[in-house]
Amino acid sequence: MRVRPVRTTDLDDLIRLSAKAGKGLTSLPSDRARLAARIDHAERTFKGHNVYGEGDFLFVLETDDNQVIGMCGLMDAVGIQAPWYNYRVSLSVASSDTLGVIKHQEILMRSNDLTGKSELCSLFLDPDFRGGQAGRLLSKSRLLFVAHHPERFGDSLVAELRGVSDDTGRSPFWESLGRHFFDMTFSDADWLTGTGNKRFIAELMPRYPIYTTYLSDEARAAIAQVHPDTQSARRLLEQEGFHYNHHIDIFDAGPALECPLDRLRLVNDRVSVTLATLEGSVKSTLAEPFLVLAGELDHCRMTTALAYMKDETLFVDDDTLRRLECLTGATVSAAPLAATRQHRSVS
Amino acid sequence: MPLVVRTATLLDRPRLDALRSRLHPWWPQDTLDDALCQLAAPCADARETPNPGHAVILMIENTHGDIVAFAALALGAAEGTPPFFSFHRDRITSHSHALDVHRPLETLGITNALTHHVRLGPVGLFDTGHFETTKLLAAGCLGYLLTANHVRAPILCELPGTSDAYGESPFWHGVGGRFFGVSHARAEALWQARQRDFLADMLPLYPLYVPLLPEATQAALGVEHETLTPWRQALEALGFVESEYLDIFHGGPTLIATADHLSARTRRTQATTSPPPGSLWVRPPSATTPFEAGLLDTDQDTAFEPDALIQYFEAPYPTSASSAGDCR
Repeated sequence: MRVRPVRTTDLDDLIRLSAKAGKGLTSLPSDRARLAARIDHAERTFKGHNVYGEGDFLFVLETDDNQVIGMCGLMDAVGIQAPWYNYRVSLSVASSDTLGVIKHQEILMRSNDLTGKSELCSLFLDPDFRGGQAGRLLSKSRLLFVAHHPERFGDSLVAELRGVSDDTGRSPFWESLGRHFFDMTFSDADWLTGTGNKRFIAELMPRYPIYTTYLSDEARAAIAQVHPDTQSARRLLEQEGFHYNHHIDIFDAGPALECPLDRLRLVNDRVSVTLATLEGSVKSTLAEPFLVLAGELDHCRMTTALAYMKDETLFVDDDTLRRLECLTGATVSAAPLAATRQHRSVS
Repeated sequence: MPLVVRTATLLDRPRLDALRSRLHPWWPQDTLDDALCQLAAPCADARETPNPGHAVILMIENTHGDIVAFAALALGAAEGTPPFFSFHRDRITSHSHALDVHRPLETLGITNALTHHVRLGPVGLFDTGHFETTKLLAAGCLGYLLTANHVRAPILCELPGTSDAYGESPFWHGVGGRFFGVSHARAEALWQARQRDFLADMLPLYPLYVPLLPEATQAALGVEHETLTPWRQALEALGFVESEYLDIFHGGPTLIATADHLSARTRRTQATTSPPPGSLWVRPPSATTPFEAGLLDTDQDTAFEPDALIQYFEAPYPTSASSAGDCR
């Protein structure tokens, strides 16, 4: 498997994927025209034709027989072309000497704090391929892309994770707060946002801070919590350096995880190496999983590989060379796949 | 013999003190305290123009000499008075052009806008079976304000709000109880004791969205305690109107009128001819007599005798307003 930039020829595959994604993934609509427009936009982005704030780096994950089974995205900077809203979970403390009390109140402040940050978005993996390494490759490849092209992104990355909702898509946070202001269902609001129609957020969302004491217990408990299906994604991002910084999604209260670029594990672990062929005996004893990127921008390819690094050479097998479309001697970016394992060059 | 409203004097103090415990427990009594402290001897000359901070008590006695109703009236706060806190009901309408959605939302924010208003209340109504007594007391207060030329500030009457079967205020449960960190009783006691710094310290910094408040709290907004409904009706019949201000502890309504508005509604009439039944008569205070006011008999079975010292005003209540239900 490998990850590469999306192409116009991927449209039919993405339409097929969108049917599997259902309504939940608003950034992958089953709308041919919209999807085609997004692909076109992404191609222009990879070619450097979009101005800062409009960049939409969209990647696909394909099998070795070129079947597209997933996608992921990167926005170069949110909130530049149109306001980007979150709630900032804050604290208001009041005290009175007369009463002898100190009272803490959690409040939700309307915020545009994440403006200018780069966003991880649009991650979807065909359910038939979940459970293996595909999800990790899909999610981490874009981080390696950022590490390889830091000049194209903001000084910080952000990922808004799916918040708590039940099997019917009902969000307790929305039911307790959003519906009072937006006069629509959670799924409708989420769908509108996914279509790029975000102006209504500014028009309808609360202007004053919200005291969370007025939310239902269920809604308060959902603040900054992720949907059970998103737990592993959260762990993965946290291992890569992301952390919750008191910003949540305005619809379902899912956490916005943030990571300054200089704290991103892959930025610090990425090295430029020369590719060489890995002998079978070494592979079985010394090799460990690496994430590898070859090529630049619209010609880049990324994959995972059991590899062995010595000095500034990365030894990989033939399948990896084929996926990267490289010959031995090529220079690539690489970093250990696992955040928990301390990578050390074997000397 | 028709009942008369008059200003209380120092001689009335023991009886007024005895009646204090029968006032509505949530009605702030600082105006009454001020008025009791300023009670003068019956022979004191009450004609001089009072200063801001001046407070009086208007009262009605029955034919047995028992006080059946009284009201405290504070003629505006003096400079340097601590701010008076209220909640202000406001409405924000969000509009989305893209969705063609209008979303009006009510909010509650803290304000001190009423700090220098004339304050009417607390009120003691002990003849609850007779709405006429309530109307007379309200009319007497009106007469006092109409003849007190210096009164230019708007007049407010903040009514205690509702309570449930256990005496708990649903408004306190939904608002104060979440911000003050103490019991309702403690907050109330400190307020009555004029230790009010805690209000500025603890009241919410930001407006509250009403749709997010508990349903019982929302239902209590601007609703007076049921025992005070006749008083509210009497004031509204005189021209007081419900304002957008609410009592900070119980969410009760604040009725407001301006002196000019009341004057326009109840014009002074000449006493050269017999004023119509129901007219308000007012005898301003003299060197030896207190302020007095009353309503002319509606049955007109007594001959009218003009008195040059008395001022007459058009009937403040519609003649059909013979029952509580007619006044609203």
